[in-house]
Amino acid sequence: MPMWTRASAMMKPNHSSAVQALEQAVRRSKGDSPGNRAWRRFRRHRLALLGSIVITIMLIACYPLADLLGGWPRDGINLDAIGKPPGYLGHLLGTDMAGRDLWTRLLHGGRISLSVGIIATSIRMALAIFLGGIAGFYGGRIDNLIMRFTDAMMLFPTFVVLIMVVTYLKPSIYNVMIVLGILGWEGTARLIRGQILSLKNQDYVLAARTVGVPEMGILFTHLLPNTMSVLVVAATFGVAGGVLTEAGLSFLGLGVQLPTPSWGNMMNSAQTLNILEQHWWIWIFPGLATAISVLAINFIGDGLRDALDPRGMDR
Amino acid sequence: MGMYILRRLALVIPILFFMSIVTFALWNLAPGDPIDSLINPEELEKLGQYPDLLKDLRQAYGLDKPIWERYLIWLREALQGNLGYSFVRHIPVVEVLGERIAPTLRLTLAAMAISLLLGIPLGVVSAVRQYSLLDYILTFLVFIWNSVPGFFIALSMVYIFSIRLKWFPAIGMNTTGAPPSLWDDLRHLILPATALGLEGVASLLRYTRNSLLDVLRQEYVTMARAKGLSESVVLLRHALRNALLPVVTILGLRIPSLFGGALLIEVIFNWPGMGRLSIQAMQQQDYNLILGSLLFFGTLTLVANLVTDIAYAYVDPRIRYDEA
Repeated sequence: MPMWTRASAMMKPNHSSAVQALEQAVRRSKGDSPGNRAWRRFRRHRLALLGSIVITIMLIACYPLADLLGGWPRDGINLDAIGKPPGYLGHLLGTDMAGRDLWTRLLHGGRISLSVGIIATSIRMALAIFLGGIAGFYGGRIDNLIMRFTDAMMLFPTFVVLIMVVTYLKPSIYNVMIVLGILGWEGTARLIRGQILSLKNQDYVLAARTVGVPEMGILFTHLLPNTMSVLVVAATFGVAGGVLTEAGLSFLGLGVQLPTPSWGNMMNSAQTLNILEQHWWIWIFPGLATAISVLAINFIGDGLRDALDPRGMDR
Repeated sequence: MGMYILRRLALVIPILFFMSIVTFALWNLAPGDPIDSLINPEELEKLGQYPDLLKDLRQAYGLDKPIWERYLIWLREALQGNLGYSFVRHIPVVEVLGERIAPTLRLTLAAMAISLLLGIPLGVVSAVRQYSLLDYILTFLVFIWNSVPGFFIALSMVYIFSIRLKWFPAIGMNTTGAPPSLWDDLRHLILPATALGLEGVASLLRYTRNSLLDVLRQEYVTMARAKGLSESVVLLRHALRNALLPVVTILGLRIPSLFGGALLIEVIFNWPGMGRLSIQAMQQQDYNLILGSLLFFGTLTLVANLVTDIAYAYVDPRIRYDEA
């Protein structure tokens, strides 16, 4: 039985104000798990809330509803509307130089771009958790080896290497996902290593060890779950970065290949001045879509960072 | 300090080796060799009558040797400053690179100058007027800047400033045929350098702001104020100097992304630099040139990082690498 009930029972006759305040505090803290507190703080971050709404709408529009909302076949060519401006013949955002409906392709392109960002980030996080976790947990020579390797990877001009590897593997949506995932785990790995280092000497880890939890169990069930808040934030920003990098690669023609649309390769044709000048709708809409989605994800990341930061617990 | 530089150099060299081996292996093990890409497939049919021709060609280029032997030959020559011939351009790789390095450096240095000149003052203002309207606006702009693809900003800038307003030329490094002049060069440089530099403004602004806010909370700043020094002296002489130290490292860390950004910017602005060159080289499978440009980017990144670290130790006497 918790302390406060006994105390209040004892003082029942004259219900002092101190006890009332205590009871009130306890009532308030009912259902006050760390998760609830984080959610409360997240809700207070208005831009993060706005970001979540925007991204939810985008995800629903791009994944289940893309065919319904689009109204045209994704790669379908309308020979009567080649490079026509928004509104022409019922093409909401106009058509590209092959006569494909831009609004439909924007929805399907979002599906591709966001998927690339999410899957690349998953690969990246898995690598970061594995390498960072092992390095921080075992320390010593293994730590030294992994961290020197991480340092070396950080010195690489990533985008240049990225382009080289993608060109070598032949550009395709899967290669982009994999290569994006394999390059770029360094920062998160360092972050996780630092977290593990500071967590592994805590008493509860010692307690777990005392009751005979195996080493791997300590790492996976006691240490890594506690790095979750850092991971969630890193992953959110990672998805935003992934969408941006995919856009850059596909813009150069080295990412997702036509006719499959992605926001990046829809802007590819703007490399010629004619399209840049005469057919602005072809590149402006995918550019705006990329910017808005990345902005929304970044806002969510910022909100999550505020909400999950243990230093902000009392707010 | 000398020891530290030596140790860092000792780390740089294996990385360069590793990069060259991996690149060399990748492109040499890929199906098809330079001879294949030199010959038109339709012509290849006719060549069927001369079965030895292709073999002779491969022998002449040394392509019949095992891969490790080819790498050693390449390495021996590379160490003497010979990176081989570009298979597509038929001129030495060193010569091709030589032509392209200056434009890329011009672009990236100008971009970096823009990042510094905008990022640091705005960061200072943002920190000094913390929680003011200006601070909120700048913070919001940083968010937007981090979220919009750099090449989209570049495209929009071309559309607005050179197509609609006709203030600046859209492509190239100077007007072809016109007599070279500083003004012409500048007009061509402004748009690409700004487009590239703006990406850096966002992160520099953020770092300067946070670093200065940290420093302003230090006791020696309170002390300086207590002595009755004017706010500008406190800020410029006492706080800012210390606040800018961590910013130095950010400059170094930005260099890889600067080159990455330069790649896209060079394509958009038709800038005759290293970035566009390396993309062309990859598309043409011109692998001596690929190796050469990758080594160039790698070396430059590594050296820039080293210089940053040394500069950091130099400006901050608290850092002693030798004892570590």
